[in-house]
Parts: sequence; structure tokens; C-alpha cells
Amino acid sequence: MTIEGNTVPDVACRVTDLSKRFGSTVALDHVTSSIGGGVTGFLGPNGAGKSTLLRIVATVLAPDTGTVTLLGRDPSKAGERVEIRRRLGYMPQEPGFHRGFTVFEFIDYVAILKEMTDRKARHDEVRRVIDQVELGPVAHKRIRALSGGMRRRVALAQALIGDPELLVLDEPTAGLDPEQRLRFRDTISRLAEDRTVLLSSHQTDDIAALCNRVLVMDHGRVVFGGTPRQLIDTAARQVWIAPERDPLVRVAWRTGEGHYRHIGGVPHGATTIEPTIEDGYLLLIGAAAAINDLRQQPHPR
Amino acid sequence: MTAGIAERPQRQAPPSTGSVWASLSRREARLVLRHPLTLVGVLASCYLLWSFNRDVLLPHLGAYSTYVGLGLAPLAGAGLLVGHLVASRAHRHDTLEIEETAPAVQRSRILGRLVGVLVTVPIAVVVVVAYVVYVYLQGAAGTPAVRELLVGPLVVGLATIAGVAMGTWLPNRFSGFLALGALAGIQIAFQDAEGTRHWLAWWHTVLWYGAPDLWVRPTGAHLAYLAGIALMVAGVAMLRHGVRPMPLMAVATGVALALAGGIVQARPPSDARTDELLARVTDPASHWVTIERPSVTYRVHPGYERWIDSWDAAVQRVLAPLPPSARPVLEVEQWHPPYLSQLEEELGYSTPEGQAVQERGGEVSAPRAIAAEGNLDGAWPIQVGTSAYIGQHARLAIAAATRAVGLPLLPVETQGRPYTEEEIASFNRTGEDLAEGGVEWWPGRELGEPAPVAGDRIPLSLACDAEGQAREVVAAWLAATASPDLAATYADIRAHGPGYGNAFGEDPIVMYSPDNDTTLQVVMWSSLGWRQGGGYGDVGESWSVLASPTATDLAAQLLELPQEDVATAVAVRWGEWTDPATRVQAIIRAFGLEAPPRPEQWLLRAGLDPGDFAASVAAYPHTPGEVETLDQRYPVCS
Repeated sequence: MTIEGNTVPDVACRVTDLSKRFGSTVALDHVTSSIGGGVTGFLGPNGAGKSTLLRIVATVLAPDTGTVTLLGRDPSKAGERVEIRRRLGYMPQEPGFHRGFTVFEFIDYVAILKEMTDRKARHDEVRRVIDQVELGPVAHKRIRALSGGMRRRVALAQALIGDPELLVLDEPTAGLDPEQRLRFRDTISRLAEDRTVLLSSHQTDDIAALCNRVLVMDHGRVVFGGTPRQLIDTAARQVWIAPERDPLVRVAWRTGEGHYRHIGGVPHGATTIEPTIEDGYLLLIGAAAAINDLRQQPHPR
Repeated sequence: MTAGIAERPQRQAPPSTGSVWASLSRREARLVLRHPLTLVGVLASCYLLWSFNRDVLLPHLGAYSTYVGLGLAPLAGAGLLVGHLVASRAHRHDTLEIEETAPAVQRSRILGRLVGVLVTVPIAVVVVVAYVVYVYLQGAAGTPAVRELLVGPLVVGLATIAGVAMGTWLPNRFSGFLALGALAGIQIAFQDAEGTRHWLAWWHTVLWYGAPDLWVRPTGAHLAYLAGIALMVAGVAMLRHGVRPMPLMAVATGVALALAGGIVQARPPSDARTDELLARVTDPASHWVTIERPSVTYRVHPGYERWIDSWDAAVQRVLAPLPPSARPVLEVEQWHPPYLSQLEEELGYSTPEGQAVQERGGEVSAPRAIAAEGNLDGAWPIQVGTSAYIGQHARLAIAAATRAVGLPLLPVETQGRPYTEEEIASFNRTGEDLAEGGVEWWPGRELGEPAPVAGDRIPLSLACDAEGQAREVVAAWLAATASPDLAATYADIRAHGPGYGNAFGEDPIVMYSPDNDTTLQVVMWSSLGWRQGGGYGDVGESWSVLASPTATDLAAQLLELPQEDVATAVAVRWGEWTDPATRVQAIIRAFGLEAPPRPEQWLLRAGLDPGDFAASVAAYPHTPGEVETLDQRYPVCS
């Protein structure tokens, strides 16, 4: 699938007909996409293939089939893969840490792995990224003594080492409190000014706030590609409220005011309301689930 | 959209791979340095090396170099575990994905870790240097055996590399202990292995009792063997992430080096070398260095000259109170272990060297071997060994003092008893093996048919009983003036009776004749070498003197008096005190001493029952297995 409306001139990441299986599980199913500068968000339920795609983009995994081009290079070739990694920052979904290290030591260690061999320059860079994620006051604390939010920032800081052109962040805001998430958004927004950022999240409001483009994935496929506004617009006139739940509508939930918010299947005369990005996402996922259900039904004779 | 990628500032050229692993190795080295396990390993190694030297009076740097391998074993173990932790860290801490997406390739990372963790080797070198300095400051003679000293750091390096290899291939929490067990198993399997596999252990304490001039270990080949294995293991670690020429070459070179080193070091020694070893044991005179001091001539093996000052201080203190005309001319000779069984023990049982010595032992003459036992009569040179455990000064002092007063030393003993007059006479007459006693260890049995007695340095003399003679007291006092340990032993014996209390940290041994209580004797040599080393650790003078409880008690009383007054009184009446006809009562009267306890009182002080001696000895708690029965009487010393 090719993203509609992709007019980005500088394509940092291009995947074509990408597939990946883990045993009998299809993680990616013929995914095709091109991603340019700015922040691209990946939305999707658990198991949708977001992390697998990001790990392939981060050169952690190799696809079973299909091609990947990152920063104009082919990661399947060892030499080009190293070149890509020199320009890549990656924050895994569940980053591990050497908990006995201090923040400074850990990031310094990663900086060495990123080929920063000049000690003074490396330490300057480590201090820079530590300041960038506002960890200066705890730079010499052991990681085991930090809160979960601080550790996420340590993970982000190590990804920022070397000022990478392509930043891959897998659920960077998971587990953060609202204030930490705001701070994170601010940091990533500033970072995205001059690089390509790919991030996955379950938080639709993060995507709405941060991303200039969004990809919605489900069951290993990209089911939507466009701007957050376009995702919201997919739910235009599809969101309505009623005092009782309509059993024919797949996605509906009770709001704090005691009404039922429905997405899709608008009955005649119903009161529609302004959709959010979450409505668009849920509408897509609901539709995808319905399609999936149909696929799983026996073929009509 | 934001600015295009093409507009970004040009990146600097990436550094070389070499720079990356070098930087990584420095970082890993710092982490290893501060790791608690490293500190524990260093402290344990320092303690172990210190403990080897704890009971040693005068070590030899060359011989003590062989302790380094064993001494550094804790550091090697710590290095292995730390190396394993370093190599498995990313796996254990789940940072693999972060590492994988960094441009540093796997081989750089493994190489950086391998080199970095080898900081344990310079740490080991520092420990070794500190150990050498410590041993030197203890008064060690000789020079360090540099190649033997290198065995320790090389073992540490090998173990550390093994830890990295294991952590690279099996990065789970417990595989480090598997590697540790495997290395320990190899050490255990080979250190007591028979035949040529003996030297294949990681380390070996070649000579417990010194004598580096009896060195047979082909240390250079062993170093090559260790280095080869280390290189091979390092290559195996590097092969973890792909078969490449350099790791393959490292493995191939390592295997070749290890094989070559292993084969060379396991070869039996040449006939020439075996001859040389035997010659040094049986005919040391051709090797000795002679050094003259007032009244004393010292003959020592090259490299041991530094011990002479320490020996001479004790001897001169003994001789100081003597009138100049009465000073004996003493000779002190240094001998290697006299018996071939001991040499074999020194070389390691079942080693090629030990076997070769045993096979060729028949060529050594029995009189030579007996001469090595020494201690024969008052004119016989004082013999010292090539090790110097605590008590050596006391032995020298006793030997000098007994010679000064004209007492013979104890005769050759076997199985805990002196030979009888008849036995010695028979041996002196025929040179044949003794009829009884010593069947297990008499040198003639190991030497084959003994040669006829040469006669020039034989015959043996027989022990005599000087109890009741004043000169025995004078000798005991003279010896104690030169040896605080001996003085403390006398005080213990006086306070608690023989067989009770400490003598050089251990119980004195009681020898007792059930037929005649007057022969109850305190044996001063209880801890002067026999029990320290589990056998003859030293040559000659092992059975330096028998002093009666009476003499010990009176000498202890003399030591409580102003020593200048005692020395003056002894010197003024020297001829009288050393006359065999002068009895202890004269000394008691002259110095106003208390009469010593009667024999049965000694027994009571020692906690023994004079009425049922055998039963009380059996139940005696202080010298289990050390109480012996003296069945024979000696002629009175004349």
C-alpha cells in the first residue's frame, strides 16, 4: 500500500512490500510506505505490527520479504547498514539499562558504540543530550535509582546521541504521567524540526499533538496513512451520541455524562458531534476488525 | 515538512574500527576495575600470598615465585566471573537492541570487551610486584624467577578471556560458574596427574621447601602453553559473530602454541639435567659459596648468601658470652633435602623428574646420603636447609650452643627413635642396610645397594644422656639467649610442664620412657620443621637436641636473672660449667635457682598420670599422636 498524498521530497524511509512472520504469526503483511521528514506516528492495537516495522527500520530485524531503503541506503548490505546506523537513533519499546551505571556512564557507553572515540567530544555530546532531556541534575545517579519516567528519558537521550537524522521511538510515552508526556512532546517536537522521527504510540492525543503524519496499522497491514487531520476527517459525521447503546454499532462507549458515544452506523436523525483523532482511529480499527471477521468467515459457496 | 536530509551539515568521517574497540576497552577496563568482584579477588589473592609467607622466616625469591599461580587463583576466578558479566551484560540487561542499532560492529564490541577486561592482568602484575617486594623485605634471598612470576598474571588473563568467551557464547547468568568449574576441574585433574600430564595444570607450586637450583619446571614452555590456550579461547569468542580470518588465525595459532608448549614441558628431563640435580643434592660442595665470619664458616648454595647475616646474628649471640679461648670454630653448611624420596617429593611425585631421580637413585652412595642427614657429632658441621621456616634460628642456636659446651648432638633417628649403639656400629662396619627400623624411609632402600662406607666423614655417633650435667643447662641457656622463641618455650614448659603449652605456636612433644622416669625428655624440635612441612622440609639438625626438663627449667630460671650477670658468671667459670663432671646442683647453688621438679611432678604438670602413663598418654589432649615412647637408655655423655 502506498501512502496517499505523500509529497515529502526527502524520503528518509521507504519500505516496499515488506513482510515478516514470527512462526505462524504474520507480523507484517506486504507493507509499503514512504516516510519523509517530520514526525510520523504509528497507531494500532497491540500486535498490529508497529514495533516489528520500527525494529526493521531500526535495523534490528531483517524482513522476510520486501525491500527497505533507509536514508537512501540498503540495510541488507553490511556496509550500508553501518552507514545507516551512524545516522540512526533508536529507542526500543522496553529499553533495558545497565542499572549499575550512572546516567552519564550509560549514555557515554552508547556513545562509544556510536563510534564517538574522542573522549572530550564524546563527553560534550553526552552532556548535551542529557541537558536536552533535562536529566542534568541526575546525570551522576545510578539508573537503578531513577523513576520510570526518568529512565524513559535516559532511553531517549541515548537515542539522541550523535544527532541522528532518523529517530525511531517505539512507544516513548508509555508509562509516563501527563506532565512527563507533555515534556516529552515538547522535546520531540523540537527534535523533529530538522530530522525524521518515527514513533509509535497507543496515545492518540500524543499522535495528534506531535505528528504531521500518521500511519494506522492493524494485523500487520497499514490501514491508513495521512495527516492527523485526515484521520480525524475519516470520522466526520460518523460520531454520534444517544441515551442508549445501539447494539448494531461495533464501537460505542458510555461517556461521563451518561450518554453513549457511537462511532459509525449513524441512524437517521441522530445527533452527530465533532470527531477526535481517536474516533478516526477507532473507526478504522473497527472497520478493519469487521473486514477481518468477514475474512475469517467460511467462503460462501 | 521539515528541512530535507540533504540540508543537514556534513558528518565527520567515521572513526576507524580500531578506535572504537580501543575506546570501548578503556571504558570496560574502568568498569572492571571498580567491580566488587575484582576487589574481592585482589584482596583474597593478597591474603593467600601473604599466608604462604606467614610461617616462613627466610624465604627465597626464586622458590616463592612458584606460589604466584596459586596465590592469584582468586583473582583469576574473579576475572573470569567479571569477564563473563561484561560479555553477557547486554543480554542480561536487555540492551541488545540498543547495541545492535549502534554502528559499532559485533567484532569491535567483543574485541573491546576482551581487551578491556584484561585489565585484570596489570592488576595481577601489581599484586605480584607487591608480593615480591614483601617477600624481599622479609629477608628473602636469591632473585625472583620472572617466568614463574608471569604464570600467575597469565592464568588471570586466561581465566578472564574464558569468562568473556563463555559470556559471549552462553550469555546467561550461570554459565560463568560453568566456566569457572571447568577451569578448576582442569587444574585439579592435572596438578596431581601422573606422568607427563603433570605440568599441564594451570599452575604448580614446584618446590615447597625452596631450592630453586633444583628447578626442573620448563616454565618458558608452560608460558607458551598458557598463552596459546588464552589466544585460542579469545579466537573462539571472536568467532561468535561470524567466521572471519583473524579469529580463525588466532584459534589456529593458539592451538599450535598450546600444543607445542604442552609437549615441550611434558618431556622428561635429559640425563644431563638429572645428573645435575643429583649432584647438587649429594655433592653440594662443588656448588657452595664460602663466606667467613668470626668463628664461623658458612657454605651456602649460590643465591642464599643473604640469609647468612640472619643466621650469623643468632650464632654470634650464642658465642658472645664465651671466653675467646673457648670459642669453637663452627662450620655451617647448606644442604638440599638429603633423601631422594624428599627430592622426588620436591619435584612432585610421579613427575618425570621425580621418576628419573628415583630410577637413577642407585648411583648415589649411601654414605653421602647419610652425611646429608648430618647431626652426627660435635665436630660435624652444622647443617641448614634451603628453606627457613620459623624455628631455624632456634635450631642454629641450639646447634651452636651444644657444640660450644662440648655436647654431642642427637644421632640419626629412624621412625621416631634413635639408632642403638649396635645398629650404628653395624652400619659403620658394613655399610649395609639396618636390620630394623627405617625400612620405609632409610635412604639405603631407595638408593639400591649402598656402597661401602667411605669412612672419611662417618662414623655416626651415638646419643648420650647429659641429664644432670651443668653443661646441658648452660647450652640450653646459651641457645635461648639467641632465640626469643626458645626462651618462650622454656617458660611455657616451666609453667606447665613438658607437653603442655606452646612451643613456637605448637605443642612440644613428650618422649617418655616408662621404665625410667628420669629419661622423660622434652623435645625442642617439636615444631622446628617436622610438623611444619609434613615431613623433612629441611636438611640436617632436624633432631637438633634433646634437653631434659631439668635443663629446661633451670635455663628458664637463668633467663629471668640479669643476663649480663649470668653471662659474666658463665664466662668466668666456663671450664667448670662445661666439665662433664659438674652437676646441675652447682649451677643451682651458684645462681640461687629453685630445684627443678621431680619427674613425677613433671608428669603431673603435663596432666599425665605417673601411675598409669600409657593410658594418660593415650588420652592426652595436647599432643595427640605425637607422644612417643623412648625404650632405650643412652650412655652418659662424657
